[in-house]
Amino acid sequence: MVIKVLGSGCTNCKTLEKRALEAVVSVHVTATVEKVTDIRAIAAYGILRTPGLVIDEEVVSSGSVPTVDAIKGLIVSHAAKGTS
Amino acid sequence: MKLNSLRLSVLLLAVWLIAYAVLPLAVNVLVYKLLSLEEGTRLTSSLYFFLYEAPKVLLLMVIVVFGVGIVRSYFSPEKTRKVLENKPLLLGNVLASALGIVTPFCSCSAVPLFIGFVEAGIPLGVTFSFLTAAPMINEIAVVLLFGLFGWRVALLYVSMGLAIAILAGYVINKLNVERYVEDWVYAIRSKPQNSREEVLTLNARVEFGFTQVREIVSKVWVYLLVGIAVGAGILRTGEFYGRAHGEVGVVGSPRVCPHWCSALFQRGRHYSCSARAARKRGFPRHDACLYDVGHWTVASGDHHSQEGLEAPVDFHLCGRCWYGHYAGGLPLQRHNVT
Repeated sequence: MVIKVLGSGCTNCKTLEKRALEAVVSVHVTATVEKVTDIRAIAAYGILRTPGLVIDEEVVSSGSVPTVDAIKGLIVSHAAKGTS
Repeated sequence: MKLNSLRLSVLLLAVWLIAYAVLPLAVNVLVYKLLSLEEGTRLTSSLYFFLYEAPKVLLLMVIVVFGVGIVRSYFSPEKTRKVLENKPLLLGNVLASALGIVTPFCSCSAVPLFIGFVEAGIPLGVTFSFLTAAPMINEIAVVLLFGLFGWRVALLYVSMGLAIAILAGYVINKLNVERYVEDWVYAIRSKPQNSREEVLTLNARVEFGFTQVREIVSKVWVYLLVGIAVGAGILRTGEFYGRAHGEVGVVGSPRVCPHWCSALFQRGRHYSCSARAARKRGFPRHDACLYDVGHWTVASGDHHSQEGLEAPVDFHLCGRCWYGHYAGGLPLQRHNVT
């Protein structure tokens, strides 16, 4: 699973990255967390607000910093979708 | 029973109302009874001012940010973009500026927003109207200005901001600067995202309100306290008071009152009436305007009973009587407590 944090480097984006890492560690999935700072790459995802959270190329959240629990939920539901 | 955000908000609202209602009394008791400070000294006045204003303004701030947060949850850049698509130029500018006020986004989103709007075919000028209005006009400030300074100042704030945003966007439209936008912006064909229109429950909106309160109040409370402390300091030194009270009634504005630092936050626009009335009746100083009226008790006359009142003027004004005083222009008859 590849998790991407889209954001140009504001506080919110950094917080999101930290929380994403935390979430990954606590749900025991094999995933890499990448940070995307290039504005062209971010724009290509079609989000209007940063920070954005992308799991396996699917935008799951934008414009807000979800809590660690919420990110865990997103990861779990995404994983469930993948296997079904 | 598990508390959801909605129930919690109702509960907190009740707590808020009680806190706001008992605040004047609590500060009075704290300053004069518990700390037993001497009435009438400047140190006491400033301390009183700080202890009263700091929680009061924070309380107001919390409730306004929460309310605005709920309102904001009904708007999103995605919806705004949809509204602005295929709108004629000038109408587009006006709409974009107005929506800029209420659409929530953080400043670091300005670039993705710009790209997203331009990509959707929204003219550059309209996009800039949005991006100009959004950070310039803040709806929290609008409500606070309305509450503290009256509708004129709030209206001035909004209309100036809107005028600048609309004009700026209109000029950018006319300049035909599209050619300066990097080609890759138009080349981006983003995957159709956000097609799933989120429908928020009321509970989620309330939660959004709470988040906003947490985020915003945690950022600004320090500045707020510093500002109020400065105000209290001014009150203490008393040097800024001046004697030009005569001017106050003329423009009917408490804003130019030399006491504004103390009086202004207290009861906003009603001060103008009291200042005018006080002047007309030959009061050399409009005492009602002074924050530290608490050191005086109400004497007889002017609709007060012949015996006067035992209660300090402060209490008297904080009760139901203040409106009569300020709107009706009743000056305070006072006598010092000795």
